[in-house]
Amino acid sequence: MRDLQAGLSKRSCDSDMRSVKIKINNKEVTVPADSTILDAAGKLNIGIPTLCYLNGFERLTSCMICVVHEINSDRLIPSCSADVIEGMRIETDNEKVREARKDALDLLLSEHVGDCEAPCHRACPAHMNIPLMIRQIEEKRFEDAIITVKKDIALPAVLGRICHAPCEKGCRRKSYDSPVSICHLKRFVADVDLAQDSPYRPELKKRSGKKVAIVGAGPTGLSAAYYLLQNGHACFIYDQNPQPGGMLRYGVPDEKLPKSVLDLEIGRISELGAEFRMGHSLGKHIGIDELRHEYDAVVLAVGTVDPGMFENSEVELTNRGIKVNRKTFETAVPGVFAGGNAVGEARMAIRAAAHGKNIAYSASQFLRGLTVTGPSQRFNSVMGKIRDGEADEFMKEAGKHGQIIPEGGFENGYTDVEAMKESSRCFHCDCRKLDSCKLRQYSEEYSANQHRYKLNGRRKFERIIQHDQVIYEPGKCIKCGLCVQITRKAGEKLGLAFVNRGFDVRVETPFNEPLRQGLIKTAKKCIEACPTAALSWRDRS
Amino acid sequence: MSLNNSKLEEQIIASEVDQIVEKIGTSAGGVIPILHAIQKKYNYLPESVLRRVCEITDITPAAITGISTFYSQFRHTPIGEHIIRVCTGTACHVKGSEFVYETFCRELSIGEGQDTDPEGQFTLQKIACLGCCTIAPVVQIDDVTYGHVKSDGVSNILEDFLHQKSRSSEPSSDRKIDPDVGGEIKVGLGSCCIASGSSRVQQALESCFAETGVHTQVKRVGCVGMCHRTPLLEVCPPNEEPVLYDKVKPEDVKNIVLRHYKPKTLRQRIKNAAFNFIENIIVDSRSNGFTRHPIHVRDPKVEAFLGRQQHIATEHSGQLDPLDLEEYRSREGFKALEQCLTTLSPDEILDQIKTSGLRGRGGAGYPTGQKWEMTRQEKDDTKFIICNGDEGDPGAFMDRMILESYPFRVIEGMVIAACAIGAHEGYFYIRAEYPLAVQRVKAALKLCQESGLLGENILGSGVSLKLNIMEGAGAFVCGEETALIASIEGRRGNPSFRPPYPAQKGLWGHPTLVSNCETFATVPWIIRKGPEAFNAFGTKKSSGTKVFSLAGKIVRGGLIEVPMGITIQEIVEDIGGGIEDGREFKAVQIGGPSGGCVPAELAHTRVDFEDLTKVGAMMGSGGLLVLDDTDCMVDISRYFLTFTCNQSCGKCTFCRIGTKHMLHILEKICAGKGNQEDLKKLEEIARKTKQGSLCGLGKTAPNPVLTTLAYFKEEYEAHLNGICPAKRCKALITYSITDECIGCTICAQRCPTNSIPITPYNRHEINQETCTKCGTCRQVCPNEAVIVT
Repeated sequence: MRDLQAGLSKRSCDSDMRSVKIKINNKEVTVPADSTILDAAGKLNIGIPTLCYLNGFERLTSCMICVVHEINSDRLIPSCSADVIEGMRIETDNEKVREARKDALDLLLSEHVGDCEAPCHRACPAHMNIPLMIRQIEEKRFEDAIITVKKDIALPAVLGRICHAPCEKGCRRKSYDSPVSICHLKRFVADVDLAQDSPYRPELKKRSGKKVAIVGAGPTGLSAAYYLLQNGHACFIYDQNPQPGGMLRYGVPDEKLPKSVLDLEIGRISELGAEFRMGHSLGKHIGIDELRHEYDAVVLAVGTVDPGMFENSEVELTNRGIKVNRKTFETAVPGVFAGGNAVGEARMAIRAAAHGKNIAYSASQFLRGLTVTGPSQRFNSVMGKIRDGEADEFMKEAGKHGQIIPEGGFENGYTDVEAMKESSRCFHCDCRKLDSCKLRQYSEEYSANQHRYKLNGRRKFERIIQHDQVIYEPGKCIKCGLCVQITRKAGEKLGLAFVNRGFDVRVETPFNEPLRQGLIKTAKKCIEACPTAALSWRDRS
Repeated sequence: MSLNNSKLEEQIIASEVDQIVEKIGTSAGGVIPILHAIQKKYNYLPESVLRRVCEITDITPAAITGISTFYSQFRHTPIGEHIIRVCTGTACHVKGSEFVYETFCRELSIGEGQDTDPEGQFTLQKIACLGCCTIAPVVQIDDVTYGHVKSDGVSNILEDFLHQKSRSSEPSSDRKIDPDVGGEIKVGLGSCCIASGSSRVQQALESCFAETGVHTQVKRVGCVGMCHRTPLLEVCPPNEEPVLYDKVKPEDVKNIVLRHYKPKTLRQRIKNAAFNFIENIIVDSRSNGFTRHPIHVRDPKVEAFLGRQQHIATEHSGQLDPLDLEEYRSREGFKALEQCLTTLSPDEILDQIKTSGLRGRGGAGYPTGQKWEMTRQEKDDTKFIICNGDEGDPGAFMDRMILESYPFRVIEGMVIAACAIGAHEGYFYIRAEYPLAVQRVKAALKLCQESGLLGENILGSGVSLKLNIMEGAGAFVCGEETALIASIEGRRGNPSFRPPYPAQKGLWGHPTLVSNCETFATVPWIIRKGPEAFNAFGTKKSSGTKVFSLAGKIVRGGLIEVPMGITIQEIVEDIGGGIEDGREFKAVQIGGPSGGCVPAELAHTRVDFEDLTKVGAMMGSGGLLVLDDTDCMVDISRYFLTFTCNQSCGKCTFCRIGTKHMLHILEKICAGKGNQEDLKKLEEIARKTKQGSLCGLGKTAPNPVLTTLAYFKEEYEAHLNGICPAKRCKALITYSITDECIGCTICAQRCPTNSIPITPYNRHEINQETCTKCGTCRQVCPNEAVIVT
């Protein structure tokens, strides 16, 4: 404080614009005296996170994410607003700073009303982007929809018939009437694709020259192969049965899952280059050591485990199955991965398939010589259960009709029109700025915790649609006021205004006019400046 | 037809709005005065009117929306014929204002979420603090203030108000008093005095004169400080020692006057003798007795109250007519200014202030001389000076008293400061809740202007200063200097990051000196008596005196000015006369929502900037609230957090959300639903909010929590186990009636929710389902048969 003031009186003595020398992270930098610390850091290419800052606008000092540590005064100060003072020593990324940023994020998240990924997306063991698929169906972009589906699910036509659909249990639409028929929609997308002359074929990365042995041609093994192949690794699938499919072929009745569908979808995988070695059973015809010797990596997707399979190998077992790292699916033996029912927790086909996908991720890391971490978990804001009246907010964008039942019965699946109509029932709970939201980005970076501080009851979710292009969701607003400034600067006749104060502050159009009246010429600018998805494009594409 | 009507209405509104705007101006900065004027006219802010304002001024719809919803004085919906403001200041809170509010709701059948009675006669509001803490709890109906309100007295108040109203339409006599009789009678006319009925006492005096033929000078004086005894009447007969009468009622006035003055004519004398005789009988027959006994100035209690005090900012307290410029000047008023204009250079003035060691009286205690110097050094032809009279702390009323009682002194201090720093324009920023202060300052400015003490070429010195008044609009945060400046500029009262300090870049971007009223009021004395005389008082780092408003559970509350360094003990015991009702001294809350609770064990703490900060409290602006063993410290914390949470501007993350979380946890604990984890989180959030907030409000808001956690942890722990040791937290207590009950039915008659069935001569019982735990039964029981467990 004292130093700060000493610096101050010094500055006020010679008010002419001079340059000031300060140190940031021990690097010296000289900047004009009217620069902020953030400006100075920019000059050194030192990144400082900001939410409420926008170059060329009034200093808002609202979010407090940009704090840095001033060593002389031992204070944390907002770098977007604090002017440089001769002799300042700044640290932008020490423990104190990181903690303060996380604190601010934790607080902001504690009042954040909105989901990053939709509940269905989070509930799907394969983590498929369901709302995106649904929008693609609704817009009749079936070819895009299959890409979305197959990014995470290798056998959608199969799973579309037998999946337990945990996604539908998470679907918010059920609070209004019944969940969206996600599983049938997925099947629809897959069926449409398979019916094409040349169904979707993912692009393959350059060949890595590595070979992987996959033991077991069930959902786990097939999925692992599908994604490993895409990563450029050659795959050899061993199975004790005469035909691939595992439980899908030998455990599911034909009327539930016609073998023709299974064959078609397995065909898509062999087309990518998978080699099937049928009639080989582990421990009898082939041994783990042998496979390890011959291949660069081994995937054990054997379904039910028989201890005889692993005789004389270092693979460790538990009473439930093969012992693995739950994140990476590595066994005790380096380069040997296991998943599906073989690790004792994947009775559900979708879960088995998800294991396969994740094993492919870990194995690829291993094969490329990287640290094996498994797929990373992204940060997700979770709004929680839907409350009274909130379904109405979501219904603003959704078709009012109930579940569409296919004319030919569910066994024959949806027609195009039916699928599109069913898709229109989606609430689109997912965030429109899933990948551009700065709050999410920093929450991830600083391992923020939305549940650290809890209020009694959150605010009501609102989705304001009073503009042809803009959606406003006040619960996601962090009250930075950039939009208020932008509309003012642009001379909008009404613009946007802060209303109330304290915890009740919110941004509104003056005189309760519809949003379109406030954002006549600044919609684009406001949406782009909004650090969260409080303001976003109505049209998701 | 209706179209025509609405068109006509539109035209009327347009012309009315145009008139208001014409008076105030069309610049965007005039938005707050315009909103005040509109509300005065329409009682609220109709949207059509606001739209019209935007059409004809530079004020944008976004600005008018933002500002009119930021300040709590502004209303967007119509209100009833009269407004009832229930003060929820700290002193009122600890004396049960919550029950008073609830009782008004019930009496007026105001349902939840509503604020106006079904007939549209009364609108009920909670107000942060009326600054009448010594007569808490306080209720204001329109401009009539009621003190010492009890929940069972609410219906009487409503009745009295309506009665008053019908009477006040009678024209008041505007008689000239014959000054020849000699002597004078002084009536205290500070807000506290008025609230306790001094204006009615004044009216009684007038009619007494008319009736008895006694003529003497009635002099209104500012605050005497002895607010616990208001209304005060000081009779100064010619050639006699003055006699002070306290707690005077209008009906006592005639007796008092006749004790000292003899009526002029025989006929009147006889009549008055008879009157005296009868009156005395009537008075004596009253059980609670309205006869007033004179108290001598050398009464030990008065001496104890006044003896330890040192009046600098409040010099000549109780002696000056607030608006008598000649009298002020005859008592060395404006001498200091003359000295500054004629013999001292700005640098010399600055030196004097620096040598005196004066520190800002508004809270943080920043050295005043240094602040003046910083402002002086800035090279800018335009500089401003602002008197911060936005005393928002609940439980504090120093600024109000100073502005009401010594407006000339504050003006003098401001002119001196303006000389020193080179400012030519300035503002008084005064809370809108202090109408009397606004009125007095306005009048004082006019008088000074007319006497050449303000305006162009002051006293022929070539120095000029124009002073304006800006009325606040109900936002505590505007006491923070950057927010205050934003408010004057006509923006939402959001603070901004410092530096730049206002001294460098303040109002409209120009160097600006912002100081508290008391700081300015101290300046003339320092110049006149010399800085050494000033720093002879106080401690090394905190020189001089400090004005405190002493209230709460204390025998003698009021406005006191004491040397810095006096201990809390001395203030409470010696000046305040100890705890009222013989209860146990528990703690003092110093500094309001920014301060903390200092426990009785630390009563030896010296009152100065450093020592108070050391114990976790803060000088703040000088609110000193005494708490006894019936006050729950968790409840006090919750009270302050409710306040700060309401008053946060909402700009920065930590204050906006952090205060909300703290409040949430405190509410949980008061409801008996807290756990250890909550206590941990509470402290954690408090520390983070203190560290991370942008301005003083957020940085100090956790202090009440942190100090009570430090000194009264066991009380928090008790709440976790479902016990409120002070028996205050409603969710944790039960009222019941013991065998001591004699069946007198008083409790049953007075219970506001009819939760006690009337069972004469039998022990009564309380229906726990409907009991609101207001405590009325306990207060009225003649046999102490109501207990709280």
